[in-house]
Amino acid sequence: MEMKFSSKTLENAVEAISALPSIGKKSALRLVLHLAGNQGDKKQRIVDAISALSTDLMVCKCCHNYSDQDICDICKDPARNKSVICIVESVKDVMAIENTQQFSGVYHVLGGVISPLDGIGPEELNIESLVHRVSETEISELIMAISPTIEGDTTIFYISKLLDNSIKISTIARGVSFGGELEYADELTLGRSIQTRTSYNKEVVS
Amino acid sequence: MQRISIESLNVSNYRNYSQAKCLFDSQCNVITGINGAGKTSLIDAIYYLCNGKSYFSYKDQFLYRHETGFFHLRCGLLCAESRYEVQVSSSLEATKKITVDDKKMKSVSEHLGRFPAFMIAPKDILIILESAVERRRLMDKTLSKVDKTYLKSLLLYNRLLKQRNAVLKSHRETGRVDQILLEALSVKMEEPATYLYNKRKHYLEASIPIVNDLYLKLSGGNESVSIAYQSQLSEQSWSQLIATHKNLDLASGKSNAGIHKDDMTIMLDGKPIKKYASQGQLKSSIIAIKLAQLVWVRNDAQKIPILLLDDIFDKLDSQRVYQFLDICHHQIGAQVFITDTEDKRVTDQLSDLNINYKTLKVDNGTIT
Repeated sequence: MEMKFSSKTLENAVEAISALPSIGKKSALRLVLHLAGNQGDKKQRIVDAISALSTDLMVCKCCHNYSDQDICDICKDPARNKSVICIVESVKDVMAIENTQQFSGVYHVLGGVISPLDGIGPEELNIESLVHRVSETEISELIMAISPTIEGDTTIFYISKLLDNSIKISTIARGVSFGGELEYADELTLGRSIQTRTSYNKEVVS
Repeated sequence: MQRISIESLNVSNYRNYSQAKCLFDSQCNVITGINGAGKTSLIDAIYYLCNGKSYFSYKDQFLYRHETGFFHLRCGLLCAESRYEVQVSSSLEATKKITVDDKKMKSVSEHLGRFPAFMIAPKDILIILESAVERRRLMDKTLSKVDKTYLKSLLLYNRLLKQRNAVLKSHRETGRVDQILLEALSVKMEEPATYLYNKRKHYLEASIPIVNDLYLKLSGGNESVSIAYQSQLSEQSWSQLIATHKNLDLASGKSNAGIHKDDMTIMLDGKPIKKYASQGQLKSSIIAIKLAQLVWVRNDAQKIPILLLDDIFDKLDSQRVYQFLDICHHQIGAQVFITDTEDKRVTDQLSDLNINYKTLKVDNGTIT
């Protein structure tokens, strides 16, 4: 459906907003009309926030997480265990794991998974810097918190091949979700969780 | 054993039918008419209702009657003494809808396998004559039907193969290759490849006596059919295979070894059937191979599928037709639908075998 605009300014704004993921022309128009009709300084606040993304936002030199400085707060935190690195695909995953409050090590954000079909080879990801980081620090464990997909598995395997055999590498557990029911778990998941079952420890049960 | 049979069929706008309905015999139905009258369309409608897709066309849009944008199919079906009503509607505007007793199926795969129907048609001869792709498809189709892990392994293998080929292709274009990545992908392929290899091997080995028995009965002679599974994995382990083909893979920019190169050779009395068999022998052997596939699914799923035979008696002498109908009826016990340009060839044999049958005459999209 072709939209007819009374103003070129309006049309440009809709065009720009609808370039965002999961926002179509109609949603974009709704947002733009809302902003256009707003009398306060909402427009300016949004403009400032967005422009700060390109001027003030930095990527942590150590773990590639977003940060306001060269080195992010997590990497700087002296209470964090620097010898345990959790390897994740994206910044979103860092936030998800941080929210669990179950991890006290540091992170390394890869920026994706290896998929030559989509033109993503190892050099497109933050793998080299990971190898460098591992060689410079004393590492007790690398935790691979990467999606259990074909490409995710390949990435884990690739990284493990690249690193020294003496480094302990683990992957996050894959199995039946908490609060889930066995009969609804798919065969592959259920089969794997039987194979990689964990021993029952009375003290850990909460 | 649950026997599937169709009692009634309603067709609208499917291929050359605008509106048609008919009732069927539970044993055998002979559909006759001149070329292009709509015989095949009728049994393809049954195939569609049972399997959620057409045997002849990948796209629904080729099945809509000329200048209409939709079709609707409905049948009354009997499975283990329970009655079901299956409906399919497809149109240009909406996605395909399959319902069983008014309950909508989530996907074709949810429906597939519940009421199995098998088709044997003249184009099946291509399985023998054409490239190995057709023969692998035959193995994959049968094994996927009875083994969910098989299908998962196949999808996994194909995905990894594509990724590996992308790495090899970029080497060909840029001259650079990440050896560790290539190795990672190759190692990951081992598990699904070995699983598929073992399943295919077991399936083909177990099929040989069934195919042979069926062929002997069909031909009435004493030739024997043998099927040999050909896979590079039978000579070398996966890691050896990858190692020996590595340089070739890098030079050609694709994967030259693996189970995607598998084939099966079909021999008649020790000679490759592709080159030496007569038309009649070719026909008997493909019928035997397809029937063996049906027997395999029948035994595994404990269901007797409907058997749809599209114009396959041409070039078969009356003795072979007799034997074939005998197997379908007495050995397999399926409800059979046969299309033929002349009815005498089939009905004489059916009468001799004391099989109940109904004749339906089809002419230009109407059934009498």
